[in-house]
Amino acid sequence: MQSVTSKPTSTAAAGWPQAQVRAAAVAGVFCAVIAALMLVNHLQSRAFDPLTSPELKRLKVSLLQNPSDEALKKQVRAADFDLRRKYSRHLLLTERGGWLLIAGAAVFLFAIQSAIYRRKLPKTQKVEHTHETKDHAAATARLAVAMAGVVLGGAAWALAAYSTSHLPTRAAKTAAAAETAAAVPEPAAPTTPFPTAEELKKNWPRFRGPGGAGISAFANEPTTWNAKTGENILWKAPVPIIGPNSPVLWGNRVFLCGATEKKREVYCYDAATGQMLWQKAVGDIPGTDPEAPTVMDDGGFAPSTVATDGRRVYAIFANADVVAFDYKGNRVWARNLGKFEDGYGHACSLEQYHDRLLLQLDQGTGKDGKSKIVALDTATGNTVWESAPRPISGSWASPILINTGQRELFVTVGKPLVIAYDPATGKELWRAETLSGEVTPSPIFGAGFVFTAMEGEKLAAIKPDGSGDVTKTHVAWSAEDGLPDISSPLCDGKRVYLATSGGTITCYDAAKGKKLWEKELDNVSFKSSAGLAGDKVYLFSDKGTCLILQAGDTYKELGRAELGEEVLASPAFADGCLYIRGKKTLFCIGNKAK
Amino acid sequence: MLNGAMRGAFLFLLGAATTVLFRRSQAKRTVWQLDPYKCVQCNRCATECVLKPSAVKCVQVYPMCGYCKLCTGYFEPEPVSLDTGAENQLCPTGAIKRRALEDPYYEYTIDEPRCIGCAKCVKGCVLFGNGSFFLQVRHDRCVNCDECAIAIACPAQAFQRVPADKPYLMKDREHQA
Amino acid sequence: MRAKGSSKLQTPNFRATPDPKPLMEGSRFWKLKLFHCFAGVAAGLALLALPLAAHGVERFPPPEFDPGYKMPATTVPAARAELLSYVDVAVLVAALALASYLALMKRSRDGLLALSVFSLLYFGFYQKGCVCAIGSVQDAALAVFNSGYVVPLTTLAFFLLPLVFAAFFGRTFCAAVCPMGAIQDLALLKPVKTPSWLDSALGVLPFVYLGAGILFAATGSAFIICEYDPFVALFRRSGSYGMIALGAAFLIVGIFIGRPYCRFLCPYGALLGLVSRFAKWNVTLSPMDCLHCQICDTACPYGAIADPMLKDPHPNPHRRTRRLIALAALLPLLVVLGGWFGGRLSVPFSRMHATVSLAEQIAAEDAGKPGEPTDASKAFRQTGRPVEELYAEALRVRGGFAIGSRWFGAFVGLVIGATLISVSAPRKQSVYDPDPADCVSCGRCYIHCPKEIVRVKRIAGKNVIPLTPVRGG
Repeated sequence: MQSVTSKPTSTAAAGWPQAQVRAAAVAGVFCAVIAALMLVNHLQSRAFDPLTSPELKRLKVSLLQNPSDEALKKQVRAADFDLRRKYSRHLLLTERGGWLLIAGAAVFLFAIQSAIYRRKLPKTQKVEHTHETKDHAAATARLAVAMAGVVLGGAAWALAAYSTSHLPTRAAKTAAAAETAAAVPEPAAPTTPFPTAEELKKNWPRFRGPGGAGISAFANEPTTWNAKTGENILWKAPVPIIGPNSPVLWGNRVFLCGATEKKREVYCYDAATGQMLWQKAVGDIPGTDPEAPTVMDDGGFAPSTVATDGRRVYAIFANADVVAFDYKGNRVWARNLGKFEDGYGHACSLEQYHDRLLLQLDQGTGKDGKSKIVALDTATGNTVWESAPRPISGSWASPILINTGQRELFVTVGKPLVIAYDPATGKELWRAETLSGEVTPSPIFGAGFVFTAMEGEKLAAIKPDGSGDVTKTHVAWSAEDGLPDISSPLCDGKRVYLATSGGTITCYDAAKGKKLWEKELDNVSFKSSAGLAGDKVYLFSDKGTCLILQAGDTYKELGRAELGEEVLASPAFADGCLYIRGKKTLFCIGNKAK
Repeated sequence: MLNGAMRGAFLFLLGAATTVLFRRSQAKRTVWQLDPYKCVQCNRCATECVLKPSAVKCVQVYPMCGYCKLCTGYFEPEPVSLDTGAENQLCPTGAIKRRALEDPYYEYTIDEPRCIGCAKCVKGCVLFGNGSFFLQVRHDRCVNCDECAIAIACPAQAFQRVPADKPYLMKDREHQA
Repeated sequence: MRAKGSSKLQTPNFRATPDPKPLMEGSRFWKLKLFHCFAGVAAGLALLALPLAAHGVERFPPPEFDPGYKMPATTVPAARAELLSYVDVAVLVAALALASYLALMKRSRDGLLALSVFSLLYFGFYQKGCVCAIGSVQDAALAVFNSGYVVPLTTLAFFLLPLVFAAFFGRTFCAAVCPMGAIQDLALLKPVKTPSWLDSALGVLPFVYLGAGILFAATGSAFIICEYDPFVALFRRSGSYGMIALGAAFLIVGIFIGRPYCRFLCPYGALLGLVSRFAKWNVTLSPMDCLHCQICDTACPYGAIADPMLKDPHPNPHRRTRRLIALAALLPLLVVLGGWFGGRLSVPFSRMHATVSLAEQIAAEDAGKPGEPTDASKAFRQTGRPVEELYAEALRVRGGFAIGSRWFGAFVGLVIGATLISVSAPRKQSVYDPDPADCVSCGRCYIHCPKEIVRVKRIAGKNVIPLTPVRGG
């Protein structure tokens, strides 16, 4: 069968018009050259990206070390100029190269297309179709399609097999938890802006409870328990992030916080069941330094205990992020109080006075005026007052608010002073030089004295009615045996108890300062602060053993109870039970089944 | 016959889809923009844009600016001295112009053709200053891809489609931070 | 007027005045303290500034300017004018109409070639390849499945118009309107025929790509068709080097293999091919006087010419019928199997979604898995949003994927099953003619078919109705 073409071309199929071939060849070579140049340009550009140039970075660093080196300065400027010149040239070359490449490709394509356009097709052998060839082709096609399916299925299988997910699939559980959380009765919303003294007394609003004294309003807490057997353990709940801060209590809520280098969180538990009601991350606070502070291993990133007033819960972290959440877990306000210039990060716990949150911000050298007391409005977080700069170079102790009967005092300890302020105005009332070192044990008030204690210095009993510098006039007595390094003292009204990380417990007569007894225990270390319920002293060792002692003029151990988990925090006491935070777990200990 | 029926069915389907889509459509075009309050200054705007240099550039909102002498968007964290020397400037391309007003105030202007959208100055200004420097998609450059390449890469998911007649998400002084 | 206060920035504020955010006393920025000068604010000015300072992070109140100072305005260059996008739609309609006219009535390869060049320049290099009909599939999918997404009318037009035209005139959009088709058509210099079994196997891919594109768009994860568009980087003359290399690779392969993207990947082409099967008019050759010379088959670089059925009866028609019945029975099985495979893909697929990948990252970090935190996880933690909220959102998205990827898998199963049937079923045409699904109406066959050349000459000047394809004969 002859093919008929209406437009037979004189050009043979094999021989293309010379002009087009030449043009195409030239254009092709041109394109290749341009593409190669652009590639070189691109590869080179990595070396002089002004954003990342290591050379410039190196020069700038060495200039910082020798800021007066004029020659180096000139070198930096020259390098910077050179980089930017190269960079802009790179951009220009890319732009022009792109156009040239397109132009070259257009010429190349046009030349060849015009040569082959309407070119007579080469004669090919006609394909004779038979049923056999067609069936064969169809079979091959089926096989190919089936293979494509197998390949796709295999790819899907591999993809599914090699993919993992860390997402908690217990979404339903979380949702259910959220639902039951809503079912936990909300305490009636308080109408007053701040709690009464009575309310504060019934609850455990801060580190070591009301006034930071560590004294329970009740006397019916259990004296035996065992975490292994579950004896008297009412509930235990995991705490997502470890931290040494202690739980606080208000009504049916338990609060505490935790932080890592990356994140800071506040937790709310149901006091009756241990169910976590909410867990809130703290972030997005303007001014927060993205770099975490350096902290001690023991203190961590959340050393400070939260505080609550029955309306909101307040937390401060080592990076000086302060945050307030309402009881539903909504963030009310948050602030960052500036980068903390303290080797260990901020560590003092919070105290409250009426509708003010009192913060002890001690840092720096003591001479640079950076240390101060700040009172924030609990509703808004706005600063209400700031104290005059404190000559204090750091403190890791928690301040206390006390009522001496005559007046209210806000007592702070740091190196080297104990300073008492008027909590309403921030005016300093008196100070005494009774401390030194890295002050960590908090002050307490009892038997009419403010007690401060620090290893290497002394235990001092200070009458709180003075003014000005009372170091020489109001220190009623002082003693130097069994001084604590971390654990805070405890006063039962007649006696003062001290515990050290070396395992020594010492008891003084509160009025006279006479040492009543001293007990050295082996293989025990006390970092947690003691608590008093009725006439029983509860003291947790760092291994989780709780010593229960009879408050009295002689050493009398009523018993020991095991938590089975390390303890750095101090217990919170409630009616018939106590809450203690272990390394990873929050425990509620109470008399079971009575 | 069969063809006609199938075509009819297809056109019917297309009509139904069109009705649904019409309800979800608007005459206004949308363009891409980034929310400066979500931006975390990660530098991806400079590297991910299909254009080089990026269509995202830094802008300065003057009423927010503190006109600081020590501008933390302009100077290196530890400048050798507070002058325009290259060793002191944070901007890798020298795209910020500094003009002295009455001492101690200085006016800072972005030289846009030079800006590559790396957000170094934005980071300095947001962390330590008023945050008057921030990134925006510049619509004289943006080619408005159907899907923005930076939006895919943005770690803060700050990119969104906005109406083409209001194509900027500017910061302002009154914004609730 | 102006008191140059060496005022400390964090001035004591009493209750009456709201507290400005404190100065960040970064140690690296210790020098700030040496330069109190910039904080000079008179008390009067402070009063003016306070109502504003209440709501911001205004660490340094702006100075009080001399009356002579003119504050520069921040420029806001407008986006591309709205009108121009309507011009684009008008050009699209005109180009589609012209392409249909040239392909079906005028039967002019020259005209189509010229239109191709125009489309390449306009939709490609001028409009920078966006928005295109291929990508608009995703906009449509997102708008249908996500009520939060409003699709612009012009984008909708780019999605619908080529489909409507295809229902009447076949794939004339592919012929000379689509810039991606045009650039490949122009780059084709030395066509090499691909074996038909390869065409059949690779022909599955565009549907898989279409399904995946719809799945990821509908779930709001990504526009993968845009992300892996090989030519858009060339149109913009800018883009990641990977994408430019991919585009160049497609063009170089395209010198020998006709339109590799259109035939073996383009998801919109798959859709158009499907519609084109039922088009009112298609590109045909002279069916009345086919010489069975097979020149058209040689001329077509896209393997779109279908050979006619044989006149002599099949020696074993029952076997063929049985096979077809078996394949038809296999079809639902493949759909179910595909659905099962698809369901297993919801976890890896959902990672394409930003929220899921972020939640996975956060979960991995919190589970203590090794690896640095990403910018995204850092950004998330900065927002202070509760992790549970993110997890819940991610699981909701994954739930969507659990359904979507099953549908996707079932669709792929359907495509494979249907392809198996279609390659096994006999064609019911008596002459050599373009297959409407594969033919992109490029017009190459017109200029080589001996009968067509004669016919075009005869009808020159007269606008005759296009020939109706001869099927079922």
